Amino acid sequence: MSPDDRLQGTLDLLVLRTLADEPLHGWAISRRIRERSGDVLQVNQGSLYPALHRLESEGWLDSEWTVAGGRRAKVYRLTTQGRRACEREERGWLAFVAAVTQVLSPA
Amino acid sequence: MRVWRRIRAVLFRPAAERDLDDEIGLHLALEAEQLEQQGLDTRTAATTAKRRFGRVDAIKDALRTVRGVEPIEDFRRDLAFAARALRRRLGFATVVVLTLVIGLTSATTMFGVVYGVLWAPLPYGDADRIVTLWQTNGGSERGRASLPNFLDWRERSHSFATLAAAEPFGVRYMTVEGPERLPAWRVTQGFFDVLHVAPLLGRTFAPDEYQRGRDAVVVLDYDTWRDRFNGDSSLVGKTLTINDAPTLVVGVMPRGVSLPSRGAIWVPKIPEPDELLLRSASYFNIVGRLAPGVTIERAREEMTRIAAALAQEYPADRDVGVAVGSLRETLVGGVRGRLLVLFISVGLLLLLTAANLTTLLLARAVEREGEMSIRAALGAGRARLARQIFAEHALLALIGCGLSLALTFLALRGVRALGQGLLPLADEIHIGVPVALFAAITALASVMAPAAPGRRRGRRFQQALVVTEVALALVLVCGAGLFVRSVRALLGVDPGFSSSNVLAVTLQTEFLFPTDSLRATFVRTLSDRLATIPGVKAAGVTTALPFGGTIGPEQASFEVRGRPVGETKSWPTTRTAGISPGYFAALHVPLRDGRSFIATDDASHPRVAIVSAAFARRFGTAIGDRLDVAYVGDPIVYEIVGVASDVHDAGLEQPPLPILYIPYAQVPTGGVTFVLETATAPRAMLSRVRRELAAVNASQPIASVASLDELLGASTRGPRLVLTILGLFASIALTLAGVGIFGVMSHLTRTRTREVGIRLALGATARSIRGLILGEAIALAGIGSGIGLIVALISGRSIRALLYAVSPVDPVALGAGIAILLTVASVAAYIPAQRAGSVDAVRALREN
Repeated sequence: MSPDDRLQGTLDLLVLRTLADEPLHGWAISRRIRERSGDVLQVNQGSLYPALHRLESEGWLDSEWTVAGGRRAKVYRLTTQGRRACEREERGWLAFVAAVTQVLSPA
Repeated sequence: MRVWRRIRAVLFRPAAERDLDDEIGLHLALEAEQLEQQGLDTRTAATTAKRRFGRVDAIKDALRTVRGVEPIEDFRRDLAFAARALRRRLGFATVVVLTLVIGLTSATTMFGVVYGVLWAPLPYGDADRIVTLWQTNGGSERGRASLPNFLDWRERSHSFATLAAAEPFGVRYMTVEGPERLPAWRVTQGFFDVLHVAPLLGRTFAPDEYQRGRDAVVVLDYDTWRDRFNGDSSLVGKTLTINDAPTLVVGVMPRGVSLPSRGAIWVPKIPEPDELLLRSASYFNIVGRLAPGVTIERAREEMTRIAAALAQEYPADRDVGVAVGSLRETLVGGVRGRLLVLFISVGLLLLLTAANLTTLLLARAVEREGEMSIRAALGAGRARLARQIFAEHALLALIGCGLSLALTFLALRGVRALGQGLLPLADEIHIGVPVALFAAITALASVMAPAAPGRRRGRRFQQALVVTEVALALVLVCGAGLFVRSVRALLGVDPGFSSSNVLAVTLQTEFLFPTDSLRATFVRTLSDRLATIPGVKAAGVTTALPFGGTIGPEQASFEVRGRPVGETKSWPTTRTAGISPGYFAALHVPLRDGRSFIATDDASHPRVAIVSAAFARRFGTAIGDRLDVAYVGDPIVYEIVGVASDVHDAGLEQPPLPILYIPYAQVPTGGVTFVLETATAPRAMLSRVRRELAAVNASQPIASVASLDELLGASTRGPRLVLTILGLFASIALTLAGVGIFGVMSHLTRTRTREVGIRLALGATARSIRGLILGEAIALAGIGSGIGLIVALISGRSIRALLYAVSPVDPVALGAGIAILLTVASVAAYIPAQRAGSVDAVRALREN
């Protein structure tokens, strides 16, 4: 299993977590995730935008059009609802990781 | 916010698309810039960025789905797909559309008629505040009012903002071709306030124009203005010669404004001194506008109190009551019952159509199960497949609706033409928004219902469909049967006179002859001249033509000498007719007893009378009895010299009423009809009649012309038309039911192939298999008939008033209906039964 595959299921969490720090546009989100993971996580850009739109339509993200470098840019921001969802997902992920780690660690 | 974005995405597609492009564009540009910074050349950077992003189109598609644009886009695609699918199944599509069009066109047309006549707003300001007032004399029948009564009503009531009277009045209008008669209403001040409509051109009457000497003014109705004056917009301000006096046209009213009746102009009414006193002279139509906040019930209560007070004060008003009706009720009350029966019938037809469509579409769905499971296996979602079916049905509804509206347009044009003189407000019938909406909603509902999710393919459901169709069809067939019986009975009534080849020419002679004797001479001279026209076998005159409507004083009160009944007001009343000696001969009314009138029964000879057989029966009179008759003016004594056979002169459905005939020469009233029995087509004689009339008096116009056959035919036109329409509905219903039963039985039989195979294998014969299937169809039809019969019996009561001499539970009509339905069911089930009988047992068992 490659890191990319594992990434897909947790894309929502990564996006939410990234936006929890500051509002960003799509390309910035993908770069931020790559940087933070030390180039391990390469977000599949084809899945990023559908995920953003889906999270937006669920009300976890809000967006705003601004101008960045002379171009129109759609900047996403976490809503209150999204912040709560982020925390929930994060807890869930950590619990999952802990469980998997426990299984993997020698008894 | 989110909702708005979604709406925006749907409504403003280009803007939403641009946002998508920009968002992805920015990403690609930034990615490319970064790659360039890492050392790639511009071109390679751009292509690499794109490659990394993935398939832009596919991602955009995915984004659209999230955004909610997808359904609309999809639906467009679904429609195109549906069109292709239906084109492949042209036969099926044609049958569905045809079924829909038949049901929908019938329903939409009826809806158009009912809406136009019963529901569409009337062309008056606040039309629901307009009422009509009628004088009732003892009974409930509504009659016209006298001027003194009207003035008292107006004086004493508080329920009305305005009350006005209108007197029917024919005027002579001189054209270059000769005199013509224009129907007119003489109206009192306030009449146009009741209508509350702005004139199309000019103005209505000013208050001072209701005064003598200033009243030479006329307001034209739209029809007269259009038909007689070619819609000349410069007519206002011009002068017409009306009743020999120059009369100023001051205004034209808009289309549809036609109170109290159609096609009549308006002139001011100035009461004559004697009219202000004659409480028994009742010839005024009263219209009023309710005062603000007053309900019609309150107005009724008040008028009842006023009528009671007047009855105390004036002997002539002893039995006089007041009826208050809404304008709509007055205009269309006579046809409401028939229209609603037809509307309900068409509703049943529509249900039948929907049931049939359900059968068709279900059969199609079953047929497509294979296709659908393949498509589902290839990855189409359940919702997606449902949408596909929805699209196909929507397309069928759309086509059906469009065709139906086009046909309805033509049908309504026919209705307008057919309805003239029969259907009030026929001109108000047209395709408008309400009619189009009705068609669209009905089309969608009838096609969509079968597409709705739910388990509907079960045997029980299909059987229920057959039962429903039979029940619906039976109600319609029985209804049509009742009307067939009723109309046959009506047409079988002997009117009591011969109507074939009789021309009736009516003149209104009120204004041309200063004395009665001059008028009597004119009428006799003309009648004699008409009798000598070659081809005229007999000629006579009457003041009360059977089926001809009222043209003169029609009622008289009388007392038989030697059998006093009290004061004049309590005398019995009878219909009267002033006739000439030739009248009975021209109409072939046989004399039962005594003698007919002769030329010398004129003003200079003793008054004589002939009574109808019904009169003699009802009042027990004999030849030689003397009657005091209050006809026109004070009572005069008449001696009965003959008894004539009965004539149905108030309609074939009415029993013959007592009639008192008196010689026209003895009471020469203004309105008179010349009847000519001709050897050939009666109307062909008309030009010759005009020549004779012009020769006797060049300024006398003809008021109306008809043949007695036409009048007799017109009197049964309503019932006959209802019968034709119901007959049409019933035939359609039978066809639909037949097709429906055929469809369901075929389908049910196919699903029983295995069972049939087993039965055959166990020794059943083809014959018994056929019997099995036919038996099932007939059993279902029997249940349906039973239910339909119950409905017919219950609903029959509501059409009792529309039937003549037939009970709404007439066993012949109901029995025939059931027989027809069972026959149709057996015929429709025959082919499926035949097919079942010829099943090959071995193959049936092996294949299943």
